[in-house]
Amino acid sequence: MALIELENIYKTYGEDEYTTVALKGVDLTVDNGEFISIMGPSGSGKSTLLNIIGCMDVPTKGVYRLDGVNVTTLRDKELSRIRNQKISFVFQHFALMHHFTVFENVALPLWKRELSKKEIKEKVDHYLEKLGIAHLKKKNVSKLSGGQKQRVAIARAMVAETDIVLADEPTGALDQENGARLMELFCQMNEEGKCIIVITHDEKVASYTKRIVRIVDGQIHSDTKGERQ
Amino acid sequence: MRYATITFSSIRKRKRSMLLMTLQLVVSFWMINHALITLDTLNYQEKQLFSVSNMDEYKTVKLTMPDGDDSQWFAERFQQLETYIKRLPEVEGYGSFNTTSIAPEDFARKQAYEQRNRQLYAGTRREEETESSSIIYFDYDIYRLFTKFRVSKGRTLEKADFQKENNDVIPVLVGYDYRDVFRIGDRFKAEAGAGESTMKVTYEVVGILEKGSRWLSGNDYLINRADNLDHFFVAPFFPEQREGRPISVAVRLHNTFLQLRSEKQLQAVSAALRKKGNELGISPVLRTVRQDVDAYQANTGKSYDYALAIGIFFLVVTLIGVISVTISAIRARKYELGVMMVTGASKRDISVMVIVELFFLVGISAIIGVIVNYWTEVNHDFFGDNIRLEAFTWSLYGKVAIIAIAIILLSALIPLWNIKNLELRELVEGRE
Repeated sequence: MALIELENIYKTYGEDEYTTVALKGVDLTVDNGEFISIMGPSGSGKSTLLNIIGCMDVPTKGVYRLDGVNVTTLRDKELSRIRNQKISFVFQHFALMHHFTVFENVALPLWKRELSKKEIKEKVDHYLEKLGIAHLKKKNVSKLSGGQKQRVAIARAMVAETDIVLADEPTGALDQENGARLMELFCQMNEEGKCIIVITHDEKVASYTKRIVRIVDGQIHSDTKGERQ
Repeated sequence: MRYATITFSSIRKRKRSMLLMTLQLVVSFWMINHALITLDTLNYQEKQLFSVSNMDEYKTVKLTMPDGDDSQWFAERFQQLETYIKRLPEVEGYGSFNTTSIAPEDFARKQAYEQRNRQLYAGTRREEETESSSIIYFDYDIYRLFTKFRVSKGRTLEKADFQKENNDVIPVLVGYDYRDVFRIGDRFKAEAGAGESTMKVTYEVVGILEKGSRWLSGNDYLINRADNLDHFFVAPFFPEQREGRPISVAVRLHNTFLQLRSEKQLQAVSAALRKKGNELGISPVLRTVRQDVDAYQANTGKSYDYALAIGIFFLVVTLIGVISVTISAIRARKYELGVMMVTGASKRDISVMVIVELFFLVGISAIIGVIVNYWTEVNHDFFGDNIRLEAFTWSLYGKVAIIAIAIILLSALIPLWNIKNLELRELVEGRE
């Protein structure tokens, strides 16, 4: 059974003459442990696709099955549970809580789970250590550099221990060196069994992935599988 | 409850607007509490009247003399009116009471008495008056029909005590706080009367009042808090006072009552007194206790309406303020809310956070509002006379809590609607 199954997905915004069709009958299947990049020019619909895969948005038409469950009919409460337990996100602008410490930001997905304070602390400490940012634990994230912030975002994605990690232009706000480090981290996570889906328009970023899906005008233009470069 | 951490962190971040909002809410709760106390006090005053005394709302009638004064002319006529009232077959009893002060002298334990008063009066306006106590003088009918006094030692006052002649020893009951100072049979002297007619009267302690004995305030039997008699003396009017000297008449006019045998006789007695008053050239007015209570409540009701209107006005203004601050806080925190939702918070979790925040804001304000109101009432207290303090009960706190919950629910409606319509994809898309 595929991890992600999208069947004939449509997404439209607005009404009547102001309608914009962002996705036009997208079919996509992703298995466990895949490392995919979704590429396309601006306005092609790649972010809309990521929003739907990440249960942040629902399709106007079509069926989306996640782990065999049709999520298109689920309510907000169930969708939030899926976002908490099955999917982690890494965004171009990090999506961190500015007035919170590194520890608190990384612990964010664990607050919804039935874990003791001690368990949360152990998990967070483990991943902060792994990413080499344990010394920043008590620092407010607004005081960090871009590279450090992205590591915090990665730590938050890792601590959730979800099957899927979705990344939307994750290297967009980083310099070349930090961007490369980030992609190495993704490779490492993928080797540990995570399914990573990266939205990018950067060929260099896409070269780290094993499958490249190209979208043009809301439709899948090509879907190429191959070895990582 | 871990999202509460985010809520309180967010409150800390917006501390200025939160402080202003709290201030506005505190004033609202203060005003509303003030109105509620006014209403509760009305009920308490009525309840107190009938719990402290045996007065009957329809059979007990207060006699007032709008044209009364301390002239010899008036005193003579008033005495004739009193004699007439006492002979009316419809009148079961007639008399008055008067609260004043007494300074006992010539007794063995005077030092102990003053020492006790130092303790009792510490921090009050009587701090410097340790040589005196308050005393209530009664006519026999008032004592017999209306008081509920019981003694812990000795005996209560009897009919013969109220019929003493000049130079007789006047029996007196002393309050519970003086139980170690006076013994039954102790005698003391005290000045009585005023001006040229001042005289020394000898009193004899015949009983110690039970702890917590109370009687209606001599200043206003209806409005003021009843006096706690633990540091009071109780005695019959002595002969000089009964004889109707002008000054005594003027004093007694404050609290003169008559008890009818039946409530149906009010009209007949009123008519008879009016007629007698016309003959004498004075104008007696009779009002049942019920009529007195109703008139006072109707009058005070206006001030209650005013206080309530101010309270509601503040409340509405505050409600609008709380709603707009909450909505703008949600808008300002859209990115933050988006981050939370991306990591698993549902709209329900976000709504709970908003409600927790409102609970915190409104709850704290309500508590401070009540405390501020209590503080202002205490500072209005004049030697424990502020009856409004009696209104600070669990019932009042319950009402304030209901109002606070209503504010929370009303002010949460629009913000919760906004949360319901949040679009997660818009919250985090490339914005920081």
